[in-house]
Amino acid sequence: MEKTEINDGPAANIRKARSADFDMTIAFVGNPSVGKSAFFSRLTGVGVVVANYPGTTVELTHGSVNVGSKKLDVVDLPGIYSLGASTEDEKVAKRYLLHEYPDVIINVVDATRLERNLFLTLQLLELNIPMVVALNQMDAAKEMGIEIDIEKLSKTLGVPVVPTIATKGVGLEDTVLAALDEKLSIKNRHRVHYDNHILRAIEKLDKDFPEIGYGIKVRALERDQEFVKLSCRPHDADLLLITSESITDDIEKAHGMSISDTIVRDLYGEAGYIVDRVTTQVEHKITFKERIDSVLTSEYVGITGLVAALLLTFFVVFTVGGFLEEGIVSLFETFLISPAESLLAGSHPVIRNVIIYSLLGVEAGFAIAIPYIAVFYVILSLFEDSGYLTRASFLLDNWTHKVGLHGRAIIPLVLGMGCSVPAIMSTRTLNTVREKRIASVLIALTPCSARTVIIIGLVGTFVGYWAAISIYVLELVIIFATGWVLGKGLPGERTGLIMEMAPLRKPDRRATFQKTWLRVREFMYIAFPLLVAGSALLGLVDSLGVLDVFQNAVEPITVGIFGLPAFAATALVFGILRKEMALQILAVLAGTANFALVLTPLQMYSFAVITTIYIPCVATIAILKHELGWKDTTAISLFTITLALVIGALINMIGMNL
Amino acid sequence: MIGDRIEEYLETIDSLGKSRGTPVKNKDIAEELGFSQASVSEMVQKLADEGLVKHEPYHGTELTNQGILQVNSIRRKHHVIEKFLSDVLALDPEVAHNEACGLEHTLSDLVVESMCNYLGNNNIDCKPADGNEHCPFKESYVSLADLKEGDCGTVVMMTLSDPSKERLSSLGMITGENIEVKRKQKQGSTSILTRGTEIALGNEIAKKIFVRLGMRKRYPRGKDRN
Repeated sequence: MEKTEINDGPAANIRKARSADFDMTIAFVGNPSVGKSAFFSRLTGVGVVVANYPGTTVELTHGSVNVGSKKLDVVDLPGIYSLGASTEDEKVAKRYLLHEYPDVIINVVDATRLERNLFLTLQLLELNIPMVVALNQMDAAKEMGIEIDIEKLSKTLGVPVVPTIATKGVGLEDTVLAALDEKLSIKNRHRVHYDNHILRAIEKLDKDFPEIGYGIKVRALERDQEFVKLSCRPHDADLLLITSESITDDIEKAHGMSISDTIVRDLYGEAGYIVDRVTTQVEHKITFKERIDSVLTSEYVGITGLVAALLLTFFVVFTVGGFLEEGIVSLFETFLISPAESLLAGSHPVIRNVIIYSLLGVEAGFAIAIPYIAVFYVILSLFEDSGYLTRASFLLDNWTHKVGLHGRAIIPLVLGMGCSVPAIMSTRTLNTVREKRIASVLIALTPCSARTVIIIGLVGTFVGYWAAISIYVLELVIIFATGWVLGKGLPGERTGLIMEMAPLRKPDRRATFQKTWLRVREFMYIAFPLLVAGSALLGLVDSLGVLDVFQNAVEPITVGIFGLPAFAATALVFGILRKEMALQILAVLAGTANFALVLTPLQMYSFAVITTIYIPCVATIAILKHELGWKDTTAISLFTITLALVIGALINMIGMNL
Repeated sequence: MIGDRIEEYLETIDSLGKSRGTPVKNKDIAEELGFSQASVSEMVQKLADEGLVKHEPYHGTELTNQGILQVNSIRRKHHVIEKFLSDVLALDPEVAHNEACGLEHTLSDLVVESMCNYLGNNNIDCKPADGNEHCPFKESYVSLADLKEGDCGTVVMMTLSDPSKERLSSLGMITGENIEVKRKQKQGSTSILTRGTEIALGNEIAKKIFVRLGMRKRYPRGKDRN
């Protein structure tokens, strides 16, 4: 019988044809927070593409790098703890490795948490794909007094191990060179010494399936159908699965053990054993970082620190963001909008409007994207990469539960105070659709910087400081109430907080910039089309006089229910494009920016609250549709419109009777 | 249900063994259960094949260690269920007993553990039937949510859903693992240290993880195992 090389990994007949552009594919695999992105970003630079693995919401980042004459396709898989099936990320990583079959794996491992990381490493070894281990964070390890015998580790695992400090660029070249080394083989790999029952079962399988690899048989015993089917020829896969199924059943019944649990235990045991053999703890001095860390989540200092951090964030985004926004807007006005207006002065009003409004839409895109999204993402990346965000989630988990979310949701909610768009983009990190929905609704209700401009510019300036603050309090109450109701009522999976608290570390500049750039770019792709189209439409509608018709049509609501002047309706429509525009147009229609002359304090208050609630801006709607789909987006919009109507009416009624 | 039948047999063999002495004769089993001797013989053979009983022709049948474990497990389940029905749901004791006889075969471990958990949390003394009864609340099993910073222990039970247990296991937390409480927020989240990793757990998850205080010898690994 033909002795086929099934032993060397996934069968050739299902190996995906490699794109002709690249000579080799390298995959980066490792736990979250090990410094994988620092490594990856230094290798690939700016030209990276983020794409979802087909049929999933999991993102893979692709980049390319040239080494010598070879062009390499480098893929960054999401951080995972194991090649199991407990999260979407893990499933996709496993599928990718088995299906796409990269030429080499670079397993980035954290030297300060070696035991935990080796759990994944041992699983990766069983895939029989050529592999190199990058032992990262060597500097942090030294700080903690940990010494690792690299050669011994390499010999034990049977693969090259290269010490690296990704944030300083140390060891990166060596790692890649080791990965490209032609002599890299999959022989002499470490074999995990499993439980005797499992070993005996594997021996039994060896008799019937001599050519199939050790790792594949282990997975077969674990009933991992997907793994086996992707690694063997169909006929062999089915046979192996059937045979191993009965063996597994026998063992589990006879000895009352679960094979999966035992394998997990054995892997951890093995990881611990290896770590004990290659590591020496020189002395553990309490490092400065550890001291700070214990304070961050302590009783009072923790929360105070968190509030301070949030306020600081808010402040920075406001000042820096606001400054940049002004700059961009004036640039646009001077070089684009004004010239366009004069050029088109004589043209047909419809054409003029459509073009000018479209340009305004583009301006809006840039004026939101760069000041707010970019600045926010830089700050968010810093919080995330430093590890602070996990501490914040830890502190707030209890509170976020009251609104049906768990601690991790704090990121999107905080982001929402700056701009709803990146906030909704970041709901991706939440585990369940239910949480994403709740978070998105709450974000839509959170006053973003644009809305804050209206609250402070209108109410704060013309009514009073305390009035403005009261609006924020009102918003907070509405958010909590909505969250509470949704938390109780919305169906779906409820998960509890289970999250690793990685050690604090200094964030890496390059990784931060790369991440921020990717997010800004993504926003442009998603929001721009809708912004421009929406603006053009608005221009068209305006020039055709439809807006006047609309204004008259809704006058009963505007004046009757809200108690606002009729022209406020038009201002509100413009607010859909960009919230601050509502205020700007209001001034234009009122004939003055001194609102005290045309509006009563009650009307100003009402207007501010309504603009905060009524409907998300176009950019937000674009993102909502992208993340949750049209149905949910429409539901959220209808909800906010209704809520605005109710609250607006209430304010008017209460105000009238005061 | 085959499972019920097996458990019924095991319980009968066990009780007959206790009252009339081992080994138990097949005809006694037949009489007790009201089945024909032929069916009993067939069943006893099946049980022997499964490793739950030892049968010697002309001598009789007795439970193996495996069989004893299974009977004890059912007994305990019955006890917890009956206690739950009578004390928590306020059912008549006789009704509770009869219902428990049926439910002990159909309720899963997860459900029974949750009932046990509930009894313990509400200070309802279980008063297990015999001294060997393996009751978590008799020994010093504590819920993770009740521990303080710095406490150490071994995880003995997690009454969580499978997805949560899987997530925990991929992070290194499995039953039998040594853990240390690193951070604890009053009424809030807990974080534990296991195998050099710190894991934050929400309160509702921590409540369902039970720990025996004090460190256990590290799980044997590598060549020392077996």
